[in-house]
Amino acid sequence: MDKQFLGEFEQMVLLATLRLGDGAYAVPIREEIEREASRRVSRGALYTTLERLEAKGLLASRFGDGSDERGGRARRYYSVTEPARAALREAREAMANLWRGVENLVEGR
Amino acid sequence: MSPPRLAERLLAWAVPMGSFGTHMMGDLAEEYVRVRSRRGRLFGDAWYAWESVRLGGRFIVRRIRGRFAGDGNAGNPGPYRGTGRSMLRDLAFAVRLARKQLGVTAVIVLTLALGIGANAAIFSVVSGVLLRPLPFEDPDRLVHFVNMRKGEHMFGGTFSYLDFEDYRDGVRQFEDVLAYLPGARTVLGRGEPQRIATARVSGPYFDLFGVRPAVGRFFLSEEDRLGHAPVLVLSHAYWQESFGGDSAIVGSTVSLDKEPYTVVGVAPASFEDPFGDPVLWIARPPIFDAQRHSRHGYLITLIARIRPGVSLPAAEADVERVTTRLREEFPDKDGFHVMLRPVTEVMLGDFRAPVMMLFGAAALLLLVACANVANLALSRSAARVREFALRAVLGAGRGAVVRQVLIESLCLAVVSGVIGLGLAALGVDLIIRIGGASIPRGHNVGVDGLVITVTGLITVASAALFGLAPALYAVRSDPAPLLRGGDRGGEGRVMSRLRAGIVTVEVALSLVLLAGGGLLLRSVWSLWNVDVGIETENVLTFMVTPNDDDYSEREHLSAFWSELETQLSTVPGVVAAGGATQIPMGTGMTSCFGFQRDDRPPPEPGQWRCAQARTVTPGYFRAAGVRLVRGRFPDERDGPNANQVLAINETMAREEFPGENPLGKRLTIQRTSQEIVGIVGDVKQGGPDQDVVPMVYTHQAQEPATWMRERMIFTLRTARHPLSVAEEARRAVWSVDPTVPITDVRTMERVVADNIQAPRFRATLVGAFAVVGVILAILGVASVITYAVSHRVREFGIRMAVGADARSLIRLVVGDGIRLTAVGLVVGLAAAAAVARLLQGLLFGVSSLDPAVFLGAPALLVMAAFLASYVPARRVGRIDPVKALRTE
Repeated sequence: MDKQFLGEFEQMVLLATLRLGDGAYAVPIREEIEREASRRVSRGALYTTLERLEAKGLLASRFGDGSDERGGRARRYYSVTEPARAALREAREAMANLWRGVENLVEGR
Repeated sequence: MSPPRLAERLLAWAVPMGSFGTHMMGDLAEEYVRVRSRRGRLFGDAWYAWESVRLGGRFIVRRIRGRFAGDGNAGNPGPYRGTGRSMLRDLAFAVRLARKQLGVTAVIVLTLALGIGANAAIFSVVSGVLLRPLPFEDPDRLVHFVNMRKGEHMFGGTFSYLDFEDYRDGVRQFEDVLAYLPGARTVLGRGEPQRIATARVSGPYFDLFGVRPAVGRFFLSEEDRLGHAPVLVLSHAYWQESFGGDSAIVGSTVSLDKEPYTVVGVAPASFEDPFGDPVLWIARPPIFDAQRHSRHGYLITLIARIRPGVSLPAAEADVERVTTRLREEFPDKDGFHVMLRPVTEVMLGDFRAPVMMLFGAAALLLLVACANVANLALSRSAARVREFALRAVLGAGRGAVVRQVLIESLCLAVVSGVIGLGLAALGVDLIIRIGGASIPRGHNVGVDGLVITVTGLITVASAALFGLAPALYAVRSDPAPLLRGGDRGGEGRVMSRLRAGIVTVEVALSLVLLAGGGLLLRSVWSLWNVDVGIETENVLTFMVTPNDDDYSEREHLSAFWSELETQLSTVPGVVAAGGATQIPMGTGMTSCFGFQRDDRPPPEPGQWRCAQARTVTPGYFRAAGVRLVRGRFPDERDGPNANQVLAINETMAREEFPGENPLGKRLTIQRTSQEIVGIVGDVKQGGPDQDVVPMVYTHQAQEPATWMRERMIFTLRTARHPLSVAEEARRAVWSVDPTVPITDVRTMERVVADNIQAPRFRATLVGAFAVVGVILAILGVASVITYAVSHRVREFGIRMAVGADARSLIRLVVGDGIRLTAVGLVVGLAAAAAVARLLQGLLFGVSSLDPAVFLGAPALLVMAAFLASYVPARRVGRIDPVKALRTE
């Protein structure tokens, strides 16, 4: 498979999914990003991204049980695949490489 | 706590099918529950609606993109690739434009949403009441037999038991003929004594409708025979409410008036009884047995199913054959005949005309809204003439420009349509509440699939309607002079004329609405102000129904009623108290009793006359405020063993004793000779719009039959607000007997208001539409004047420079506004007069060309137009001629 490059929002979604472990479905993923990255996330954008990441093989999903409050509709739980972990590592390395030597300039010290 | 249905349905339609959409909707539902429990239902519903529009919108755009532009990656050109690209561009442009002019966009969307919402709401009523098929098998073959005599209903169209049997066994073109008798029973042992509506029916009642029980079974054929075991079927609503929907109820017993009945089944939730809303049905009740030899006890309603393929006239001829035989056999049935009324008509007949009228009013409102939006859209186009010219010069064909403008209109309309549907969902609840019992099948009314579809069509139609003028305007302009930047005056004039035309239409339409609303409101006013013959202020009424078995002795029942009157008179705040077997405009049995004068020979068969009879306690006349004309009221001295007396009303005195003094004369009613001791004032028993009928009043203690006074409606005249004595009155009744149910507690004013609920409902809705319509029309006038003023700044500057004073210029502008309105009014008056004629059947006490309405409505519009022109015209006074001339 070709090397996968990740957009910023895609990275956030993958990281939030990892942080949530077994309980990762769209509602907590969105909350996690909003809380930890202090950023508004539109539901539409999140669902589109989840769908795309799964199509690229970076996320895998399984269905849970449907509860009454959801009108019997099952939750879709996501987990991060091995290629995604590799892509995340590379993204972090790329960033770290670029950051090297410029921290002081950015921090304004 | 499930999300608002309408929003959920829209979302389900918008998001992709399959698992992806499903879990997404589940997520949103889950969050909805959280939001709602934190912020309340209203906020939760609004939140859900907003989020589903955002989410759904995203997926709709994606789907359109996929269709028109292909999916991009695969290089798959969508089926409409060429047009798609540019339409998508138009769409994007329209959205940008709408965002840039947020104020105008908001006004346009709100105006349209009101118009579309009003239509969607009224259409929901049309759809739920008139279009949704009745929940019966082949409802067109179900008919109600109406007993008539010389063209008039006899006893509400009812039959005696023997008549029923003769019809049932004599007709050939019917599958079955069944008997129906409404009633009320008391349920004891379930908290406060509860009075419920019942229906007593022949055994195969439910089979006639072809419905299946929700639980258990319906009546068996042996349960249609004399002396069978007492069984009943519960209505679905009562089963849910009182038995928690427990299926184990089948086979258990329920006590009605202390008599045990076995529950055999529950009717389906969808079942609608054509003759009312009974809580339970009793199979072949004892009263049928008691009546089984009666030829003259007109009690029973007949319903039947015609055989397939038999026409209504053929069925009617079949019935007439039996009627002819009955007429020959029983001379006093001379002049009788039977009319067959389809059950659909029984249930919906009276409602069709009013609801179509409301639909018409809503359509007018939508037209006004469209005109208003066309006006706003035109002024927006005017600001964009240069843009259109530029597009034309750069090679855009006419088609492209028209498409651009129409897509903009469609965009606005679709957003308005969605908001309009939301408004309709709220509006429907309100309509049902205002309409109350005057809307048949009200529980069926809601925003359903058909309503959404029709609203979609209405939305597209209105987009075409209001988008047309700006679209045509956009392509008619010659680009050359515009690009040079000259001749705005000429453009302005064309524009002014176009907009003036639209406003004329708007004023005319809103006048039609205003006049219609005015006439309906005047009708309600007239109904309120009819002297119904009783005092309606400060009167409390309620029904008391003692248990038959406890008061089967005549003396016992008499004592109960008189003790009740005494106790209720002593309640603090009560000035007078009394009971009657029926109060004016109240629910209950209206019975007409044949009578004859003792000093005249008995009338020929078929020639006897009848009077309504009321049995009362002596305090009733004072409590209800019935006038004494001559003689005296029946009172305490008229005991069970004293001379039998009665009072008659003025109408009866006039019709039966013309030129004579009825006092002291005797009448025989129900085989009892009675002396007339008083003449009392006429009371409109049926309601303010009904005629007064001959009427007799007797003292309850002189009434030998206990069934004649098995229940009474008490009226209390009070010194303070009537409802404030209700609690003590209840206690007073229960101090006499704690097991009697007290029902239908209402002030007399409420009784009258409920009686005229249908006209009030119509007037309220049309009135509300008229107010919105007039506001829109006046805004239209104001916007045209504002536009004209801003385009004539230079002209006014010149006029002022050559010596015109500001005041005369203001007069000029205001004059324009009034003239504009006046043209609309002339057109509108003609249209209103035509519409008023259509309304005639719905009017009361007001001519369809009522001068107050036909002068008042235009006057109101002229005054409003004056204000709407004067406010923008004042700007003329502030024009600085020097500046004005320099700007151009």
